[in-house]
Amino acid sequence: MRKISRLIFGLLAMLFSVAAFSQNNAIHGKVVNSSTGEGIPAVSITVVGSGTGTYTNDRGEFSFSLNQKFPITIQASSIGYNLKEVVVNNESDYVTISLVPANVLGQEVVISATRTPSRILESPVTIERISAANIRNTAAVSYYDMIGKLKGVDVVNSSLTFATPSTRGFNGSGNLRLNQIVDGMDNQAPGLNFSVGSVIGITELDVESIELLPGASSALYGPGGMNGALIINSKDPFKYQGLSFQVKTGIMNIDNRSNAASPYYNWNLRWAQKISEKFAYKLTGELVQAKDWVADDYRNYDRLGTTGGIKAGTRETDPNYDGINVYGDETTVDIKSNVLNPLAQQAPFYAPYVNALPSSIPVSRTGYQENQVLNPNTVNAKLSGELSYKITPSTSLNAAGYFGTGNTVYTGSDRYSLLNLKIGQYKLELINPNWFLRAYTTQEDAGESYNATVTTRLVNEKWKPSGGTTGWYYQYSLAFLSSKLGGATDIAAHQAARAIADQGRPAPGSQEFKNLFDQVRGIPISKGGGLFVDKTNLYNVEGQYNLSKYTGEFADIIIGANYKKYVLNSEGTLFADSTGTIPINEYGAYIQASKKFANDKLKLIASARYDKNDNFDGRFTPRLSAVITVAEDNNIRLSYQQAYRFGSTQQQWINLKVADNVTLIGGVPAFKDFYHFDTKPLFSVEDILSGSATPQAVTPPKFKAETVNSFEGGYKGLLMQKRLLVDLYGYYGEYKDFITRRQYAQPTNGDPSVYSSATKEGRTANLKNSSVGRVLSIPSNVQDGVTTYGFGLGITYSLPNNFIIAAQGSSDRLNGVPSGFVASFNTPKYRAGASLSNTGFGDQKRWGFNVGYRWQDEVIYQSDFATGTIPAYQTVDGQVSYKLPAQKVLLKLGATNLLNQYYRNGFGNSSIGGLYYFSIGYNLY
Amino acid sequence: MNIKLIKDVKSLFLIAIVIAAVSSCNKPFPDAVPIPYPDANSSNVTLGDVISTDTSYSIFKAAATRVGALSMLLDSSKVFTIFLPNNAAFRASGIASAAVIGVLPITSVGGIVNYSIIPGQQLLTSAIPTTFPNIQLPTALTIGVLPGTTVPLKMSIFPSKRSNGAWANNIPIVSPDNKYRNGVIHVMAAIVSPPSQVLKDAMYSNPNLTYFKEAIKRADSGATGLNKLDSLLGYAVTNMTVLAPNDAAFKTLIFGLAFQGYLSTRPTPYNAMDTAVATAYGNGAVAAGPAFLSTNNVTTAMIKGVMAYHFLATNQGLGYQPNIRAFSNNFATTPGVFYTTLVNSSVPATLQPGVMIQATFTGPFVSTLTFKGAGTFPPGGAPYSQTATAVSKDNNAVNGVFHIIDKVLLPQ
Repeated sequence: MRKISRLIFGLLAMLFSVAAFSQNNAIHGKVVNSSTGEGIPAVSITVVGSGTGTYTNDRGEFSFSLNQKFPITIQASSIGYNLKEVVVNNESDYVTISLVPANVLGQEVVISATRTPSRILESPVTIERISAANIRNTAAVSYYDMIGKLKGVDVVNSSLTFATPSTRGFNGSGNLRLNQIVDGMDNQAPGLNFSVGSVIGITELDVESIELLPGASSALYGPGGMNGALIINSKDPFKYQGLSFQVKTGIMNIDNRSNAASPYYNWNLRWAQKISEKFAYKLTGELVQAKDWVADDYRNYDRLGTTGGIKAGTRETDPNYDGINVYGDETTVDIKSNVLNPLAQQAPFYAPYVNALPSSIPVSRTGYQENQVLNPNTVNAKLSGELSYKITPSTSLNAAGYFGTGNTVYTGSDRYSLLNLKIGQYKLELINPNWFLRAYTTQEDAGESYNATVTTRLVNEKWKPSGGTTGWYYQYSLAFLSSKLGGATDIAAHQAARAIADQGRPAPGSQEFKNLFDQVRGIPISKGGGLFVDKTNLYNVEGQYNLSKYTGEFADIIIGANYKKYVLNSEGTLFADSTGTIPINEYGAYIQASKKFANDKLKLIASARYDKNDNFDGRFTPRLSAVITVAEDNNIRLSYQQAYRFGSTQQQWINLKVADNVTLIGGVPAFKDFYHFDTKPLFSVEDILSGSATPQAVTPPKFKAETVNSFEGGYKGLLMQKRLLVDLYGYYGEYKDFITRRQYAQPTNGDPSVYSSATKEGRTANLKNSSVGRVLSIPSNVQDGVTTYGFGLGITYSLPNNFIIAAQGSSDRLNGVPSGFVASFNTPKYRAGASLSNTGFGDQKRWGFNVGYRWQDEVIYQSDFATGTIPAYQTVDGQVSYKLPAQKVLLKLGATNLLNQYYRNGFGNSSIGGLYYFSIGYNLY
Repeated sequence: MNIKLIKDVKSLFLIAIVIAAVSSCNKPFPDAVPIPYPDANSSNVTLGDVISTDTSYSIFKAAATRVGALSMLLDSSKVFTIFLPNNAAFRASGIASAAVIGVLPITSVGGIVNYSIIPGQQLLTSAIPTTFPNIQLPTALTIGVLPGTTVPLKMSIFPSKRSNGAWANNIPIVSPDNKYRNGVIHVMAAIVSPPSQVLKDAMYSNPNLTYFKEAIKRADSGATGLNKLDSLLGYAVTNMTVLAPNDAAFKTLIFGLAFQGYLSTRPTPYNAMDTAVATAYGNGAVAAGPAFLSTNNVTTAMIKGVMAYHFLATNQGLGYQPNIRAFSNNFATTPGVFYTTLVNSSVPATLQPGVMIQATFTGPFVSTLTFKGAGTFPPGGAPYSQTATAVSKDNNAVNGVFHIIDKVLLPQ
């Protein structure tokens, strides 16, 4: 923290020492659309031959001062229009610039591929871009959902407002392998680990661009970017000014088997004002309110800790039923060995009868469905603001804050209700085209978030404890035996026994249930409740300098460095921090050199980065890339890069007891002492379950960073008179030291023979029995590597009259998975999509529309929460819009999942149906 | 590219979307799949059905109907094993027709029906072990509640199997393993009657066991609680096998003891007078009746030892205890097989191997059950040379079975 205050002090000192710059001549004018006559906002106006310039305001007007003699040539440029130059002869001229709309493909400029601006066609690595114009014309209800429509992207929706995108495999709720950088800040919640882009972050009207780098990308963006980097930038208050708002009202949950149809509200507001050429500010807000999608997979799940699979059975037909989205039924006890056998010892005349029953009779407590447990109201409020001060015409000092709060549902090892989650990101930065210096912090507060699974299990215990002679299992067992002695078949006896043990059980939705539930969810996990306290914070300082003006003769070189400090603070509910906060330091530095050869036909870029984390050895990671211009606007790209990721803060320091006697712990060495590995040895759960031989004591190996070596080739180019944009890529990746979890049994008395039951059921039951020992789930690296490969192809064709037709397909494959290794690849072999859109047609080009289709293949979905097959599914999205230029109003009627065919894209996650909405937007640009 | 081609592409594309969207729907979500629970056997006929329709079961039908048990046997959510007496079996047990059922006390009828049923399990003869003596399973005959629980206490039945057949208690199964939808019927040779008394009540009221009663009393003197044989005989929740010498057997022994007792005071060789007086002593002792066993003519230790030799006992980890209920058909058919007794609670089985018991079958029934003790009377005979025979076998009580024998067995 001290370092940061010193930095802030330094920045402020610079601010006041900078001299004001002088102004002489003034230029005024307006930029209009040649076909509609409406003013065009946010057009870049620059004086040719100098860096001076400004942007048009929300009415298309501009004015600026400069100390240069007339005549002056000014250039107006904006994406979607042909560039135009105009000569201004004297100060009194009111300059009107009429821009001709032009849908020229491939003109976007991207920054993230090389951390310097370059044309998207010349990017050395595969890159996808979403612009504000794309957002205006999308059918998606949230800009974040648009990411999932890009080629090669998979999205997992834990709930309406919790989406997790990834590329090239290894997706999952809260996926850790895709860096998300929002206005230069890492968007990962430091304690919860998932990226909170869809919950906290930039509001829809404030998004200027989204750039996605699929594939390995840690050479520039640091540890974590194994499977890509997502860079979202907001709108500069100098460039995008005025008031904008948008009101979306929709309906969802139509024809939902678990929910009644319900409204969807999304309100967006942005206000930006340029006070002077030096100072501008903005304020944005967004509020989403809806009834969430429901996770309603009630199939029976065969669970041990973090592995398992679907099996036959319903609550009525399997006494040990454990529904995927049914909670509380994870509690299971073998009534044969725990109740009936002891009873038969007391009443030996029943021993042969009891012996004739199955050798183990596991019975689960009666659970509650997710929609009976979780509050369906999802709320998401975002607020952000920025003050921007130009110290010099090219150097800005920006102070910005982003705050978000709300309720959403997240899938981790269990389903979590993130209730009143609050995350704030605050930054201070100095930005110059050649360098930047940035300090930011992420402040996380899990609010009243709780683990739905754990909480519901504890509600059951609070209502009627499982153990003891007045406990649920004793009652159940006696009733079971009584029914058997009345002649009932086993299953009929189970049903009768459950009815008796469940007498007086709080009904779902009853006040009694609610009271019990609220009581339990308010108690921290460490004190026997379901609440997880998490106030983990992240502090980061970073800077970058472009040395090209000194080294340009030889090569363009940029250098950068960052320092990160995590302060884990969960009060012992999530991390092993019951005695105080845990700091984790991480620092890194990078360098990139690029040079053009052969008449600029070949560009080579070499990047390298070094990072060190307290708990991991230092890592060096290189990237080499080349862009070969085969013809104008036709480029071939080749790259090799290495990426790696340190284990997340949870993989380093988590200490959380979950279902089935399993405790998730971190990989740092401190746990070896904490859990006394030296005196209480560990035994592999795999060995115990296989039952092949006497299990041997094992020592978990050192926890290392995970690495991928990725090779990629691609082509992007314009064909057919620049009407056809083709983008294709192929890649091959080798993953090493994959981070996964391995389960170890730690018998209380150090003797593994407690797990040597003859049957697998018996061994499983003993593993779940906390009086015998515990199961520790420890992060570990997979020795053998896995390889991935895939390709993608996208074509976009610009038809006359502004129509754009596009199609894309991609494929990702995984190879060489060692047996017994859960890769969680979670990616379909094939996916494909197509769209037809128009941003302006008909009378005065007022109409717009977009219709898109997407299909993906079936996925074997593996996660800590549940594992199973997600069938192939398709979605159709569409929207029609109408512009009222005079009023600057855009009306939109849209739908996502237009055919209302419910699907799930993550196993155990919500089922997603159609959402139909109408929106009114004002001053959207 | 000409406009027509573009239009074609456009319309083809639109058509493709529409076709794709309409023709293929997302798969509906799979629901949880119920686990099928097949009936106990692949049959459409329930136990109740067959009892109702098979005319050879008509007396049982009448009995089950009278006590309201038939509806239970029709229920396919239940499963039963029935040791079912058919009409021939009823007749063999003295109930000639369904009409007789109507006049019997309803508790007797209920006892007959419910005691023949094992609830909740299908016990096929293949699952009955051949180990000595049998297995104990609850029947549908409820006699109370397991103390401290809600679990009903049921009267037990004791199925057994050997190479020559299978039995419930001592009644042979004549037609085993007739499978129906909700269970199995084993057709019996006779009614398997439920016991109504504990051993103590049944034996003490037996006019042929008055000496036995007195011997128990003497053996128990100085003992307390369940160490008293008397308490054991009255303890309802156990299984015992008691070999009960009848009064004649005791009288023979007592006569002999008194006779020998007098002679042992005389110098040998005995003259006619000695023999006459000894006979008078013997007759006198017998005339004293069972009370003789309370006199100083015998010692408590001796009576205790002899009586312990008449209670079969096994060691199931807690020392030798009277914990088995052996019906005549459970014993070995070959000679020379020993069965340990309560004597072994103080004497190792290596020194005192127990009583030699042999069953001789005629058809499925035991015709002769013989016993040989270690000692002989008069003493000095070869061990296990004297044979006692059961004069009344398989007297089943709530807490055990007793076989009345015609000689007192001597442990040494």
